Amino acid sequence: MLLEVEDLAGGYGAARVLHGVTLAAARGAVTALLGANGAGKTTLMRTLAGLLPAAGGAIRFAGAEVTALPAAARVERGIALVPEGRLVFPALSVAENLRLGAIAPRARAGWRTRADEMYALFPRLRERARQPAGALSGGEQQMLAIARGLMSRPDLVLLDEPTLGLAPAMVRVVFDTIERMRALGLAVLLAEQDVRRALQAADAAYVIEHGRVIAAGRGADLAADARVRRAYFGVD
Amino acid sequence: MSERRDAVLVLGALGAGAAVPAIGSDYWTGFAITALMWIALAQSWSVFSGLSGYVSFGHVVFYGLGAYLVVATWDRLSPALSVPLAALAAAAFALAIGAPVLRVRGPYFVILSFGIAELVKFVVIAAEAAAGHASRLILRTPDLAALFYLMLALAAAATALAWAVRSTRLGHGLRAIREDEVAAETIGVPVARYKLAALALSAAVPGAVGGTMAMRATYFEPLQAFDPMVSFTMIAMAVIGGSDDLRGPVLGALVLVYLSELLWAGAPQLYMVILGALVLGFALFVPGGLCGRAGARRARPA
Repeated sequence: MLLEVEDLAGGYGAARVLHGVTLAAARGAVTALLGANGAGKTTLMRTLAGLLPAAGGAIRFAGAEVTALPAAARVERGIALVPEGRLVFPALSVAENLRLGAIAPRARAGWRTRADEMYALFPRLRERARQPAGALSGGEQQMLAIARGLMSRPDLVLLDEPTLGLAPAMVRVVFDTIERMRALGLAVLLAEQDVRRALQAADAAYVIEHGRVIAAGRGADLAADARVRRAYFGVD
Repeated sequence: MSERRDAVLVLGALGAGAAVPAIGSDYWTGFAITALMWIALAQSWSVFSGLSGYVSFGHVVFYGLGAYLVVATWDRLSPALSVPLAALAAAAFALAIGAPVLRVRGPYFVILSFGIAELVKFVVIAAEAAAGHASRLILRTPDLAALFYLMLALAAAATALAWAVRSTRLGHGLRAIREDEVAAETIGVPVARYKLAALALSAAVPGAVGGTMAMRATYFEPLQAFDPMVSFTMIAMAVIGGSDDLRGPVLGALVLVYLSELLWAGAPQLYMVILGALVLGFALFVPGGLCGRAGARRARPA
């Protein structure tokens, strides 16, 4: 497994949100994190990326312990977070956003080629390359956030609620992109509220509640799991 | 590449200014020292605050410490040693306070930076009082032309430094921090290290400038060396000229130095009023300053 998380605890200072999360994510696979608002998905993503400190447990990436590494060092190892809310650099142009995505030392060589690949992946971004990112639509900003994340040449992409607030056509584009990342051999960890779609796309999934994993399994199995059906599909 | 053009332009203009002591009177040489001092200070301020968006209201502390170091070591060290030492001491002080101070953002950082400068001012006042000095005089200072060339070199150093920072990964990372610090962290900017490095780099030249101005004044008085107006003025210059542009702080410094020269004689009280109004107007309506990137981008067709 590329990413192995063991008994991870964390949160915001004294406010503990994660109470021992154990999960794994493999190369060339989509791993979904399911759970209601406030279950701890974003906290988990941010702790994995190094934006929040772990209060206990371990994060292993590509066989090495990264639990105590700062965020920049994790990017350098190959972990990229596409944060909830996109967080593009609004005053900078689309092209500048992509350029900054390659600021990590591992990403510097060949950044122009990679930017071209991103424009091929998202033609809308090429059309808007010189416009400030803040002027893009929500869907375009999400494409930019994903492209900026991919500019760092990651092995693991942490996608935090990438379809939140997007129009259905844009949601399709995002899931197509996720499929593409899997085909390229990346490990994708996807926090998603659209449970139906996430389970369709996922090879494996974890259900999180109150900062704990309450169910785990293959995507198709979980879709049939009674607890998941009750909690998310409203059926018995 | 326009950054390189700007750097060549500014450094070339400073080089042309080297003729001032040869062709101008002492009045003009003195005036040029003041202008160069502000260019060096505003340019240094913009290296940290202009790029990172952490608005320092306390940069005078580096200036004051530099002045204090040169004056306190006057009988023991030659200025050739104490002025570079002043730059190093200012940078070292920035490193020491940076780690805790740079953890707070926005208005809290503004207030904290101001508070630290005031704190240091009163510590120096107390130390001087305990040592039996109300103010200190220094004798046998370098002549006006020597001070001019020293200040010219400092203005050029600040410009070269600003250029170097802007054209490297450090500058790009600082801009990312300014735009969105969390996003900067997710793309792999070593946020804490970059902020600290920028603060130290932006403190060094002001330290040397403070030491040089102490020689120009031939005395040291803490209330003056740590006057918060020095911080406010460099901010005003950078904001009016444009703090994310190599030419901006230079232009802002020239505009305000000229304005103050016009007004101090006739209507000194008006200077402060106009300065306040200008800063307010620029911050609200021309956030990129006279050389603003934002303004240029808006004007460019999409």
